[in-house]
Amino acid sequence: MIPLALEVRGVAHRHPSMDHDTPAEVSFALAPGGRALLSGANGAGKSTLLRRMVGLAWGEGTIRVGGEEVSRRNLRRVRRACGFLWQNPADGLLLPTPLEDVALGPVNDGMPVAAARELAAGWLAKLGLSRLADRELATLSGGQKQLVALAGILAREPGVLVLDEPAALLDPENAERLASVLDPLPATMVLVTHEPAWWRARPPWAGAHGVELVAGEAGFAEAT
Amino acid sequence: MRRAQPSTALGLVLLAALGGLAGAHTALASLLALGLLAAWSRVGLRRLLASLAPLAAAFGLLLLLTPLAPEATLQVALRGFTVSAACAVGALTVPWPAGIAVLGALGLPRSGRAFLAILACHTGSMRREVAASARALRLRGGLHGARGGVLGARILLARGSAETLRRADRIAHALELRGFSGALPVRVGFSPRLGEAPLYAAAGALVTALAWRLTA
Repeated sequence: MIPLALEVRGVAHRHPSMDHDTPAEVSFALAPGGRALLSGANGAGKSTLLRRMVGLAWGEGTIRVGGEEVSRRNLRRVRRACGFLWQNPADGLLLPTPLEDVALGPVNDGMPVAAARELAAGWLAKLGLSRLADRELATLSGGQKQLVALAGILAREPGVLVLDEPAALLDPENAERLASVLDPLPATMVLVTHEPAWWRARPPWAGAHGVELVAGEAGFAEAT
Repeated sequence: MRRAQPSTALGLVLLAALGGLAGAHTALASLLALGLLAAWSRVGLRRLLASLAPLAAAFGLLLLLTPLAPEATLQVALRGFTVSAACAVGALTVPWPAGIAVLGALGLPRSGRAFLAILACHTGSMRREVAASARALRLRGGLHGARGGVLGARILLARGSAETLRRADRIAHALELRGFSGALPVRVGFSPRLGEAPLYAAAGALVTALAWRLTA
């Protein structure tokens, strides 16, 4: 996992049905391994900004991942470099069992099936999910699904982690477990949360760059 | 649930489908083989019947034709039912990633595998969405009587249609973000197993029946 720099410059996004930008223009930069906490009211554009980072939405401004501008020409490389964790894990989980789902990324990156399954088993073990490896994903709890989704992303060793309220659906115990997995990772991270104070109380996040998104007003508030 | 090797189960299902297409006698043999595969894999009867239930409407139409040409109608019904049962038992006994991986090993191109993977993801998630909507409808008081049933069906259909587009988008995005290019992390191949002997025997019997039917 080699961390990559992330730069967001003058990014704004207007939904066709709205008369203002969500978010209003946003700019920030993270050095490799840096962390940012994005917060803001519902509808401020937090998820939209994350979707812009991985080319799921397009609009004004530029985003660079590892110095390379996100564009339609290099989407495959950008998406290989960025791991995206959906707020609702059901949106990102695709195969019937955790082991298969976690192995999906590596096998599509060219790893042989046996090695990919071994790697997946290793990540599931790191997240304390070994006993669930062959269970039907549909039978897992929301917290377990979120951890499986995270394992699926980490198995590809992305340089940037883009996390959309990863703990929003989790109970305190699972939220703590998820955070303790993220804490030591070297990757650059952008995390959307409604509880920046909870994250800042954890030492690896104490110095995280804070960005408060404001919809439809001039500029955005930046807090540290 | 006990699983047969995907290649064994798919092979038997394919032979059963061919048996259904070949004629009434081979269709009967195929149904026996499918019954064996379902029982061997411990697929519950209720689950099997639920999978076959959507066929009921088609059989209703055939029932109307029975007085006109009883033998021909029954033969068509039997053969159609066998092919449908083969699809249902296949879906219940072979996990879809394994099924697609076997088809890939048999030469299905990458785009075909991607299409089937999206379809499989979508079918599963849509089934859960519609079940959740039906549950929500019941919890909020439900809709009673024939009129309520029609209204409920309309609500589920409208919500299902809207959701199906949203889900399809999400699944396509998730596949793109996860780097999906048609590969599935499933081991394919076939290695003879003593425990699967009853299934091999059924496959052998079906091959014999098909050969007899084709040469008779």
